[in-house]
Amino acid sequence: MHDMKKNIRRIFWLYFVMFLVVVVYLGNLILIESATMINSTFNPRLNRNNFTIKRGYIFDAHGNILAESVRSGDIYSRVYPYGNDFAHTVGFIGITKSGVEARHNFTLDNLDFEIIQRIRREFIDGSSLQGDNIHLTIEQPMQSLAAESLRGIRGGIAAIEPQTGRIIAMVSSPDFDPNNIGGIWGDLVADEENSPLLNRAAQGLYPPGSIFKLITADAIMNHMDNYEDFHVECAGTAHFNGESLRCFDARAHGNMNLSDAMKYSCNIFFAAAIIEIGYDKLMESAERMGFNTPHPFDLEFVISRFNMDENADIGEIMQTSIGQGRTLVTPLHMALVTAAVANDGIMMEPYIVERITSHTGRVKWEYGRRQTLPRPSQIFTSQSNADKIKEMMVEVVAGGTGTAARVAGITVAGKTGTAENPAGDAHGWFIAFAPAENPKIALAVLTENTGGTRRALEIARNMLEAYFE
Amino acid sequence: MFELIIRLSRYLFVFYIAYFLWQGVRYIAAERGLFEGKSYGAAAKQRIVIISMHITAFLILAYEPGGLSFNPAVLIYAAGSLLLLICMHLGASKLYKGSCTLIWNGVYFLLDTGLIMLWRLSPSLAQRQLIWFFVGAFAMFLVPPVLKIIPKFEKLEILYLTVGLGLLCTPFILGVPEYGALRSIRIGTMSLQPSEIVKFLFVFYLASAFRKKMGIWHIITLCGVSALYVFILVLQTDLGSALIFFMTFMVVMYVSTGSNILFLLGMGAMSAASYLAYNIFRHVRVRVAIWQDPWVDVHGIGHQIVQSLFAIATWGLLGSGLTLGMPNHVPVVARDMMFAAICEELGSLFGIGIIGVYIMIFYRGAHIALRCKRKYYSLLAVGFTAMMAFQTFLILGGTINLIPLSGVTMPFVSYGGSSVLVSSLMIGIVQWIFMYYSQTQAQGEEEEYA
Repeated sequence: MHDMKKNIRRIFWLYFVMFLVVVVYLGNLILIESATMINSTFNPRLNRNNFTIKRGYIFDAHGNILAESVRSGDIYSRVYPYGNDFAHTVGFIGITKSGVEARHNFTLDNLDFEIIQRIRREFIDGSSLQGDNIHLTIEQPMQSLAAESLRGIRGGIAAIEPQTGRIIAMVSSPDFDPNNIGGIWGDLVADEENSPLLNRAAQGLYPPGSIFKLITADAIMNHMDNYEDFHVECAGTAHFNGESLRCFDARAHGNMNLSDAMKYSCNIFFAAAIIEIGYDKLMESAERMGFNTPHPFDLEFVISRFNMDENADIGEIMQTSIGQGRTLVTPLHMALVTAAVANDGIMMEPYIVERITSHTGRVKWEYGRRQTLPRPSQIFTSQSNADKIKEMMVEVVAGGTGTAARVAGITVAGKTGTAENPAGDAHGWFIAFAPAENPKIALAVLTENTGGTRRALEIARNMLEAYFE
Repeated sequence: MFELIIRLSRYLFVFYIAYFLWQGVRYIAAERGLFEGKSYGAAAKQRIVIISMHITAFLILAYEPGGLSFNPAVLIYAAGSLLLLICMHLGASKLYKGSCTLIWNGVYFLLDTGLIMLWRLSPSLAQRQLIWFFVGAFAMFLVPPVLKIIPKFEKLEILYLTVGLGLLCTPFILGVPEYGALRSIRIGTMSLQPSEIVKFLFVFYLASAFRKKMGIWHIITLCGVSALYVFILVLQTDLGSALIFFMTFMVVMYVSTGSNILFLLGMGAMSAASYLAYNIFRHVRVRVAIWQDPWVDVHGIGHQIVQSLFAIATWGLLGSGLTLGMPNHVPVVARDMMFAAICEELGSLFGIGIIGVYIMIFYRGAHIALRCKRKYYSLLAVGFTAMMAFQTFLILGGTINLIPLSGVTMPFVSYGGSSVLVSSLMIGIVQWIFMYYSQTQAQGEEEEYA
């Protein structure tokens, strides 16, 4: 009988532990997991306060208002002063939500010191109930310039600060006016050819073309001991095991080493080098670079894909080494890769929200406050490789395929890419960072079906000029 | 203005439950002599908390925006349900003299929380629940006289066994499918789950069988019989009940034999059986798949749990305030997901408090089992406490997706006639055991151990 008492006590402690687990799990659900979960579009509570309170402001890095709620009678309407320019980043609220408006919906609707705000409204001055404000990292002048420069064509641009991962600008074209989302929603959804709702900078998947040669060059430097002595004679066209490969316009580049091949974007050199070291080395470099692996980011994005396996034939290996094949990338990811080269081979996690403040201006959250900064997401490559790639990219702009992006007084490093695709004319790519000695900005410009890189180079040059003005 | 008051009331609800639990702690401390003061004072304060909460909640529910007017129908309901609660308390203190006050207060608190949330979710359900509430209380008051007239009811183990198994099999013959599961029979217009009645027979059977000293063959037979119960329930796709029966068996066996080896063997057998069930039965695989990733099919099978998670997580620790949330977006909220509705509107802190109230009840259940001098009664208390504890764990864990959801109800809180009736009867039996011992002890009567 004494034993039985002991057993009964033990069983009670079993219950106690069981319910303790429930409490801990519940706490985790509410305090930690809820942050991302409750913003799901399936949550019917999303629209609860959107138009009944003065939702928080969204500011750019300089304090320009990107979104505000304006009172009309008892309800509020949302106004976006810069219209189309922030359509894909700030997003919109209405029938549905997108962008930062969706991701931080409950932050913008959150009433700081709600009881005090309500008492003030009821008994003191009848002022609005105000949600928390969000300060973005985006710089409005750069954003508007980027948006303007893509008007009329399809494409995407992402610009990043290399040392931190801070997004300076991110645009997608075609865009739309979020101020009138209710009126144009039907057309936007119906326009399958242009898909204007898609944020091409983060969600558009494109073949990278020659900009992928950065990664190929990294693989070559890692796995070929004497790569500086490795030369290929380019005759414009080459045959490997019966598969043929051409350089752009079948131009014969002559005797090429790695630097020259990068400068003139010689396909045959890179294909020959990868066949020499083996396809798996390329895969290794690509995976270190963040292909096929998710990373945290506040806006909707897709992961760049690198698909090659042991079944790949020689043709596919060649195509993949020059950025064709089955590889697909987003402009955002390419900007991150460019930034990684600029930042001694370390890739930073991209971020777009700098700060959250209450309606009184009290800082409630700040990027990097809870962890050491900068926050590296991947080690892309060694510093020596990064320096070599940087030198090559400087050459590209100084005297190679990227001369159109030269900016007076500043050393620009860049790489062009012309991506063949099934949808029509080739896409034009240009990735760049500047100044090469001490990079302040890295960007990736993609122009769809422009047949060449001229437009992309021009846009990049304009943006760099504006940034260093 | 009204919204401001509701927002403020959230703090009040958290205060109510915290104070209620604190008084529970004081009661226990005073009873053990750790604390200066009288335990009945603490119990009275607990009842005052319940009445205050009842009034606060129904004033909010009855308020009609614009001016100072209240909906008379709500006020009548509030007065009626309060009256019923008070009558229940008076009846309990009359018919269950010397029973455990803390358990009663816990039950009243849960019942009242259930009524408040039910009225908020659906007044018509709340009205019907009140009838069940009445029936449950009435049935509970019949427990002491009925148990008194049955002599030596620990000797009837064969009867419990055969009737229990027989009843459990009736859905195979007379069953009506409900949500694709064959576990109910229909009597007139009422559908009834025989497994609910069998719960009692099962615990009576276990207590009768385990009260004796047992050889190894006896134990093996018992395991086989219990496995048969569980197997039939799994066949009826009633996974929740199957688990409750199994765990109750394990607990009673452990308490009775004290054998760690048997306990581990049992858990091993359960793991093996779960693995088999997972591979054989499709409905088991579906449940597990939703649990692992409810987001895969948010419009289909994952809908209920995802909506429950939204309800709980959206409003943080204090909830939205009564009437300001959207708990009606959770499917079958009144039966399966009351905990989500409570966490949404009264706050997750209140929800954690509700868990505290359950712990308090089970603690007292263990206390009763400890005080019994005869093994049979002790095992009865252990068995019924285990039934309720595991049922509560299954539904709370299911609502927050800690474990796969199995449509069992939340004792005393969920909507449903059989749920209220069964929970009341279980509490009635446990309290009767306590009362029986308080009385026999007072008479100085010594019981011999079987």
